[in-house]
Amino acid sequence: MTTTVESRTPAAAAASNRRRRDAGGIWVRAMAAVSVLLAWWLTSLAFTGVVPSPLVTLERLWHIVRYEAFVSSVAVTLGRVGAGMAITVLVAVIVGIAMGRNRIVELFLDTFVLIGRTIPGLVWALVAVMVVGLNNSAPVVAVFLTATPLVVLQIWEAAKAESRDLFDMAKVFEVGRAGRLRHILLPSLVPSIVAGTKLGLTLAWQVVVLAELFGLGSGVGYQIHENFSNFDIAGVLAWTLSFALIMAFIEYGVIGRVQARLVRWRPATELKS
Amino acid sequence: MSNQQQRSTRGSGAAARRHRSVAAPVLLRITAVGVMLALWWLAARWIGTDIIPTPDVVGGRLVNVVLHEEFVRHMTATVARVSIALVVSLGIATALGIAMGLNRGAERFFDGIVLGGRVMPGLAWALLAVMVIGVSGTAPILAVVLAVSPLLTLQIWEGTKALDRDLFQMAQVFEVGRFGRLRHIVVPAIMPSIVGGAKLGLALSWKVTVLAELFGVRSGVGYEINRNFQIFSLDGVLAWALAFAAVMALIEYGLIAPLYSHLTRWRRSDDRLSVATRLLRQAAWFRQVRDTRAEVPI
Repeated sequence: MTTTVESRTPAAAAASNRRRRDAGGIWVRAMAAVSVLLAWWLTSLAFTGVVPSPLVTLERLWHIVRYEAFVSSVAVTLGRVGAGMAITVLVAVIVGIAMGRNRIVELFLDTFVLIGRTIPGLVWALVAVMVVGLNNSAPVVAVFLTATPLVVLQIWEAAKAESRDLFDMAKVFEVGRAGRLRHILLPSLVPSIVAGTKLGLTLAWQVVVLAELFGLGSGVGYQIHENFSNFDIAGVLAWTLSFALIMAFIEYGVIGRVQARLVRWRPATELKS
Repeated sequence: MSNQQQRSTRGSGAAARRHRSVAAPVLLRITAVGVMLALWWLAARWIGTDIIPTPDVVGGRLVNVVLHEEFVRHMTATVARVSIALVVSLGIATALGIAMGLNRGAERFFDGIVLGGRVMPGLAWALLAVMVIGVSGTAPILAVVLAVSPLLTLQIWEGTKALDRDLFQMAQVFEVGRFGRLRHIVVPAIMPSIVGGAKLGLALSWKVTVLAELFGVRSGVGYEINRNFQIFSLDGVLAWALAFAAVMALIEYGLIAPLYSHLTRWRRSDDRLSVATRLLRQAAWFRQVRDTRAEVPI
């Protein structure tokens, strides 16, 4: 193993490794997908009239995309998620750095970060709808309250773990406070900021959908609520599945790719076994 | 390994610092809580106490909830649903996770399903379970099992994959049987990910349970939260949520965290050496059993 790896670059070895593994796995994976669909179809046969079959759900999805306000609903919800996450990340970077670099700030705020993490988005969604009212700000406030503790935690821990050596060197060479922040701390925090954003996003879109479900008049959550009230299970499935797929694409396809790019300079540690 | 050492030295440094000044951080934290409560109170006064209840109103309502509002009945209903669902999910996840970690075919078959299951949010499962099963106590349980199992499977799968291959090979050399390997290598090694998974699963499953109760079950904390939301009583929503979060924190820190540190204590000792010693003892025992069996005529 080691002799073959040494002659090539680690990345190439990992890629060929992956290819070799996938060549055999693709049939098993296809079989797995087919069995899931089959299980779903059999369930729909067992509960006729309650559980829709995969085909019915797909037809319903097609209908939603063609004739119902699919694009505009998704756009509205994504806009709310985006606004909430933008505020969250901005605040979390400032608070996280302050907590990581200053002991007093840390002691002052750590209790709230830890408590805030345990309060579910459901509660914040209800509170936001009740306090802010049924308008566009409610989901944004709910996202901010739910996601901020989680994102702060990531950045706080990374800022705390940042090595002293570089800081000491910068001090010796009389780099100012702003220079240290800009050239040492911020670049080293970028991976944890991206990771925090990814984690926060998972919470954020569910909270937005929940807030919409509790009474807003637009967005994916509103559509899910309409279908839920009409007892249209295929509609609920189609809306949730399609929106979950869109969010998964954003999380893994877009942010995951950014993440991989950011850690490219690091030595490959996965290649140990 | 070096990372771990680094962390431990940093930890002991922090401990020393903590030892030097215990009073100051505690005072600061108390001040922080006081400031936050004061801010809440001022915000409530400024915006209007009919919209945001003041902290003392929520506190009073909390006492009222615990004493007079069928707290025990709703709480036990929800906690029972959470526990049943968590036990079922852990059973599924342990079997599946170990199979996936040890068997290539099982891994290939299930990895797409597990990763796909993670994408589906608890909210979707809660809605679907309520619609399919109807307003019965089973709906939250089904929702939690569907939402939590993929996550737990992922934990245990990764725990099994991170097994110490060297120990495994050594066990083979010393002719430790399949059962001995499972008991002395696999189970202790994945115990942390099982209990860690239980911790993670608890945090997720009580949220999904409350959500499912909210959408159409006639008992439980979620039902009460929804009832208070419908009559626009924010202090009721907050009081029920706080009470339930407190009970869940009690379960996590009082039950699962001690269990975790108990089950992972072998890691803190010189881990590989102690496992190797235990294996050697086991191997010697096995050989002894085999040899005595050979000698004794059946």
